[in-house]
Amino acid sequence: MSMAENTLNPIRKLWTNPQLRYPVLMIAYLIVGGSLFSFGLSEFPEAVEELDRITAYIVHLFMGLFTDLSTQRAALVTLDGFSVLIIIECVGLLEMVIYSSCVLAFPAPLRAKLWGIPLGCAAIFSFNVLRIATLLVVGRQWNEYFEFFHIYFWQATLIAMIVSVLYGWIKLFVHR
Amino acid sequence: MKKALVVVLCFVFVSIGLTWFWNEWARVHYGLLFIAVATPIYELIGLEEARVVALRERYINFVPFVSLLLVTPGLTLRRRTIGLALGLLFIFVCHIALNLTELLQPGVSLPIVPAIVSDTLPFLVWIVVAYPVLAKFIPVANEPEPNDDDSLIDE
Repeated sequence: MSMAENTLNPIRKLWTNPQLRYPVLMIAYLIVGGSLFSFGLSEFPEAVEELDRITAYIVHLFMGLFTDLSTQRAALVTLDGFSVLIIIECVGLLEMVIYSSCVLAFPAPLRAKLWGIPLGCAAIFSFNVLRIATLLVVGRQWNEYFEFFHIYFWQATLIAMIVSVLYGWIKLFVHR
Repeated sequence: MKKALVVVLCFVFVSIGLTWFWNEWARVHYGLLFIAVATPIYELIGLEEARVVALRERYINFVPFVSLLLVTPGLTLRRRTIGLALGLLFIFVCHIALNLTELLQPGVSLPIVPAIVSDTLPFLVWIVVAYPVLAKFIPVANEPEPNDDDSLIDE
């Protein structure tokens, strides 16, 4: 066995271990997806503003199912005097990039991935609308807890959303 | 399904408690620890101009990692404990590394790509630590059955 083979074998062995290969592949997809996302933010600011506005409109529509006290103007949604401004980090795109990287890196058939990405992103968007609506209610009803829940709904629910949707995708499309 | 729901509920309770703990006490103390450790490291490698504020708002990614690890069923106590300690250390090291993006783009927020990597860290570290439990979901990992031994990286 040559010296090069001796060096490559442990690397090859590590690479065939999904415990390491999956996170490494995910980081690679995250870098690609994140770079594209970053490019989109800087090159298409009007589209980003439109996305903020559309998200605000959908949150307003959702709130409208339960109350008449919700109003929306551009990216601002108001519930009975309490307003939240939707910015690009609130529309769920970051979560979608992370989720899509999880799916792309996962050892599953291409067909399952092609179903999983759009359906999962739609689920994440729905969860995200629910998250913003909950924040609106918390801000309106229990204003002193708004900051706490704003932080809570950021990182903790981000991971919970991604893990839940990924679990659903694996159950429905990968392990059928 | 019922088991999954219980896990989700446990995650919600644990993460709310940890977020409260983070807000009330840990955030400030972690910031002080971070300054105490990162500053000499940056000086040692000649990057003393990197301020230690850039990642402050994303330090909270400890919370989802600890929550995920605590509520994952089926992990041995030894793996959970060692994984928790090594995972926290790894995230801390990643904070020190990611904070260096301050040199490229100063400000309280991270640039997009490092921010996405930072947000995903808890999930990535959890996959490595909780692998014996998660392996059953990964098709190519189903055979042979993984061992839940002392090593965090399973052969």
